[in-house]
Amino acid sequence: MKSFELYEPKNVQEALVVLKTHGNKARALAGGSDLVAGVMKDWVEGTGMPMPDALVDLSTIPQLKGIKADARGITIGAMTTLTDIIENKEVIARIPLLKDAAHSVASQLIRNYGTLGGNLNQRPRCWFFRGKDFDCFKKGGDFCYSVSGDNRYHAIIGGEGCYIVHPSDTATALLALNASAKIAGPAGERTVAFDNLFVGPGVNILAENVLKPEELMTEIFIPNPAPGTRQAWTKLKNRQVYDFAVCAVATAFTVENGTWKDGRIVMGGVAPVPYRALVVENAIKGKDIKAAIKQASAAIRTVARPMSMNAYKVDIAANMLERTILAGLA
Amino acid sequence: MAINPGTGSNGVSGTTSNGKPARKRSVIGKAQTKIDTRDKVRGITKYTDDMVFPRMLYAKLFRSTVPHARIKSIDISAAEKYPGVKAVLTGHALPVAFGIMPVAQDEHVLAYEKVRMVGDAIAAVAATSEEAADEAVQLIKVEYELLPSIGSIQEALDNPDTQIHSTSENGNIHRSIAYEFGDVEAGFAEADHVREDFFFYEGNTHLALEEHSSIGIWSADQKLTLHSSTQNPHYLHRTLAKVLEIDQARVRVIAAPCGGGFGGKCDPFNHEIAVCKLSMMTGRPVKITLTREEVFYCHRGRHPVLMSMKIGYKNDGSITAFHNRTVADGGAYGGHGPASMLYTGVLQTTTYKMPRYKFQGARVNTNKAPCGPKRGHGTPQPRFGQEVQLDKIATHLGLDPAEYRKSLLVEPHSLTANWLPIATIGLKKCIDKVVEGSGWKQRRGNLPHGKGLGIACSAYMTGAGTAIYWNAMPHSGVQIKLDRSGCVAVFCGVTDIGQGSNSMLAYIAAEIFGIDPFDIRVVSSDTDITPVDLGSYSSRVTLMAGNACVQAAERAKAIIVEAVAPKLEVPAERIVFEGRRVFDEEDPNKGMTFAEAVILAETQFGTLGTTGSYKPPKWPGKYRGAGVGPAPTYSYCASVVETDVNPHTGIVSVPRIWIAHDGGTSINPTLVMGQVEGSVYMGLSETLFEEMTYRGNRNVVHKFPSFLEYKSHTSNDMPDIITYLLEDPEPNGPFGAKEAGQGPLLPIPPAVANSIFNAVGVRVDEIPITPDKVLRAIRAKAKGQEGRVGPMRFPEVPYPDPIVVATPDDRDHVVATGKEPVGATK
Repeated sequence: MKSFELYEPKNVQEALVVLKTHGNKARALAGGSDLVAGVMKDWVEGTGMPMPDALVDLSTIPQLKGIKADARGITIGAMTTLTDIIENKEVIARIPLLKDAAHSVASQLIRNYGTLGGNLNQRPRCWFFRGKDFDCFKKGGDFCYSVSGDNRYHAIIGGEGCYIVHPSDTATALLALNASAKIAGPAGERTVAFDNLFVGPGVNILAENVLKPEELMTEIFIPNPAPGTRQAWTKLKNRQVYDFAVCAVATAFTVENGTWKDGRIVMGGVAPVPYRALVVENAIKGKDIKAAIKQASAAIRTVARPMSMNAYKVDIAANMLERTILAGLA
Repeated sequence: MAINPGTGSNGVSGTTSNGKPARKRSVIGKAQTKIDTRDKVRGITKYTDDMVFPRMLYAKLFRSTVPHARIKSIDISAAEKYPGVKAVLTGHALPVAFGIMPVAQDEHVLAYEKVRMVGDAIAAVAATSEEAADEAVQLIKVEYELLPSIGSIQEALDNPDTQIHSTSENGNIHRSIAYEFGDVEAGFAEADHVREDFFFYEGNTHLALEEHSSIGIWSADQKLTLHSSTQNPHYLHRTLAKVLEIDQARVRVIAAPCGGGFGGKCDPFNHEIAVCKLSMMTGRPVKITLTREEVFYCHRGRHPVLMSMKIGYKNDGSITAFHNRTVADGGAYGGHGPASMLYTGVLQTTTYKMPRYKFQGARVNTNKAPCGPKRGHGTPQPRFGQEVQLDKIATHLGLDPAEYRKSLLVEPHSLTANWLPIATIGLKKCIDKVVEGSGWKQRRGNLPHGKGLGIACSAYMTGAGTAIYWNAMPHSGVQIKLDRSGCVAVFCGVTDIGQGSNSMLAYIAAEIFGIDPFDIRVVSSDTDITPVDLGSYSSRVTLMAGNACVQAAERAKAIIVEAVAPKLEVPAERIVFEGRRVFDEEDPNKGMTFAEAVILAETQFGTLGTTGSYKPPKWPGKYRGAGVGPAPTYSYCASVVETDVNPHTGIVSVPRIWIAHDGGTSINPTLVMGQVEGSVYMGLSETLFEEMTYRGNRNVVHKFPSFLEYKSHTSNDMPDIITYLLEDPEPNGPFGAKEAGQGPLLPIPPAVANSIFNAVGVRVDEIPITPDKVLRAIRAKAKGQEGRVGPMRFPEVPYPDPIVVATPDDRDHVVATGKEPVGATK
């Protein structure tokens, strides 16, 4: 691994100064399981993502950690560990969807260390992107190796020159919960709705969200779901621990007499961003869920563009949509 | 044809030499702690990477980033000047080729003319710290002239001109073989039905937790010592002497405590030789510990194998002839490959009666990490095909797959069509156990759609009958030293890779001397100090080293008896060793402690020491290649797997597995259970997940050389396992023991496949069985097509003309008629 300077700022302002000074040669360090034990250990670098010279350790900033619940909703500091989220009474009571998604991440060991901010901002798992010898678009290179290579876990929706799938389970759940992120930068703070937080390769192939190198995600706000909101989470992974989603579905919706009133359906593991399945939402809105579910779930097929080896994911996606929504209804 | 069972000279017989009933055993057959467990669980055991020597240097290797290229230049100048660097080594200094098998000497310590895979080592750096070595390696520059790369069996066959090794038999066919035992066409003509099935088994790797690690130490008196995490110090010893061009007597290999091998540490590796050479260059100890990524490049795991199985059978299911064709993807180097390739065929005859058998096998080279021996060595692939095919036949004939298998079993103490000597076989009992335990008769066929039960069986060698290089010396030797302290020291070249072979020696010696296993000092796997044992492979250690230990201990016991009997004035045959005492069987008060008995013997005869050795029996086959396959005995196994298949996602979960193992008498049933369940774990993980696959396109690069992306089961993915040990003694084994370490893996992949068929009515004739394949088969079936996923064809392979060999039955026919069948050899 390349050597680096480690900064231990006492507050957000100090952290921002370091980030600004180093430009894209500095990275914010949360739990480190992806940045240090993944990206840096495996020399994942390119002209569009230089190996960092400096790491800014956010664990020395106490304000970034903690969960606050009030009448409007729940605010979670970016450095709050996944375990703390899973065990928080307010989270369990109000937004079990986030608890279930966080609980499906990696393993107990990693959840004890991994943070919400880190989970949301981790880099994709594409094995070409992660391979030292593949200078792909996402690293600033000139090729996407997944098109002609082994693409069994790659995107079935929304790949444009780059076919990664977004790796974060909590991002999928939080988009379904209509969350927003507070982002601190040199010019002050801004709040970005999760609807606008993630960007596909067509917008910026070098990043997965709108954060600039000199910015920091500080906290996440999840508004209280409408009374009676149904929530459900399903994640399909190859093995029971230490695995990313082949496909995940998060849904939060309200029901009246078995009819879908309002809500969101978001998929993980299928697209370069947490994918809001509007085509399915539109097909089920105002309809009797049990009667419409099969056809509505199948609507995902109309937007899917599978690659040479991942058509099976379309079948799985349709099936999981159905199962997850019915689980929420039950 | 019947052959004589073993003679029972090794503790098996029910009576002692004086005709009295044997005394109850106090150690053998009882659950025992391993003698090294306490240090291991407390973290005290020193593995190779834990060892530190004064002035030690650290080595790192520069590895190729391209799969196939000529090396135009290697520039090490910047690395040599880097602070802390003491030596940089390139391949020109070590031109001698090596490989564990005499017929496959195609590896070099460091490539200097050509690289054949991503990960091929080109240069080695020794520096005062691991970081300095790593940083210096980054400064090495290699210019390549790229060559087209070969990524699959088909590409290897299609592109003979892009030859990876000039020493190959034919194009990229590394080795090939063909045998015909009996007239197979006549067998097919006799059959009521003939069917042919194609199967594919993807490669996978061992995943031992300890990364390979080695320390080379060249001393001022021109002697070399290598500490290494290896399974086979003996073959490594020979390789070091050969490649470094020094006298074998000046080389010492010490196999350190090993954090798992599973076959992945059998080959002599380039890094092991490199640290020795670097130590010779610098005069300082040199250590290397591979990263996990590098372990994936060392590989030597399961060969991907494409198979075609053609079988003739009668209306009652009995087999008239079997024709098995295989092509194995060997990766970039030979290694154990010629043997692996033979094992994709030779053991097919060991379970079911098969009067005529034809086997054609080939191994191709590709630009991928080299394959070799992984638990089951070459046999899980054809076993998968064979057991799935039998299931298809049972379906075709409307037979119960368990009863059908029972009707086919080979006879004990018989010879197979390819002249393998079957000793004891407990397979019928194994099938009965798992059938009963799983509720097979009541449940199978009555489960809801999506749930199924499947059965499969297996056999495995208990020790290869031949050494890897030709010689007529013992395969295992034991020396026992006793002295006035009462300490018994057992010296043996065996290598304990966690399977408990050191403990096994202690149990056997303790049983014979009537003392506790913890009273015994076992000294193992040091080529200077311990007698040769060939290594921890082919499930040979308990049988071979165990028998050698029985012999050495019985000889030592006889010496003690000779001193004690006159002293006690008791006939020698009444002397008993038990409870740390030596006494008169008829008057237990008349006796002495074990230590006093040793003192008596040492006083009378001088320094005490005995040896024992073991050599497997000569195999009965007389044809060329007949030495691969025979074993002193075979273990047998049957398993029923329950599956729960989601017909909408193709996801297979396995709630329960029943497995019965005929491993003879268990020396320590706890460890045998551990081996059986560990095999189930490994077998299930490779059935459902594991793939040593490559990312393809411009670079033939491993999919991802990491624990995260190479998916293997964790304990959370494991089902309940119900294990039955048969415990029927095998006369050829020490105290009746057979193997346990490999055989129980073999029935798992086919039993899962058969269970999936039972659950949802589709066939996945390919390992691993992943959800996408199951779903594809289900979808195909729903559309009215064949509900099957698997290879659709078998390539044209230029196999050699078969070596035609008369079967033992043909031979019996010769004796009766006086007419020699065609091609019979003497």
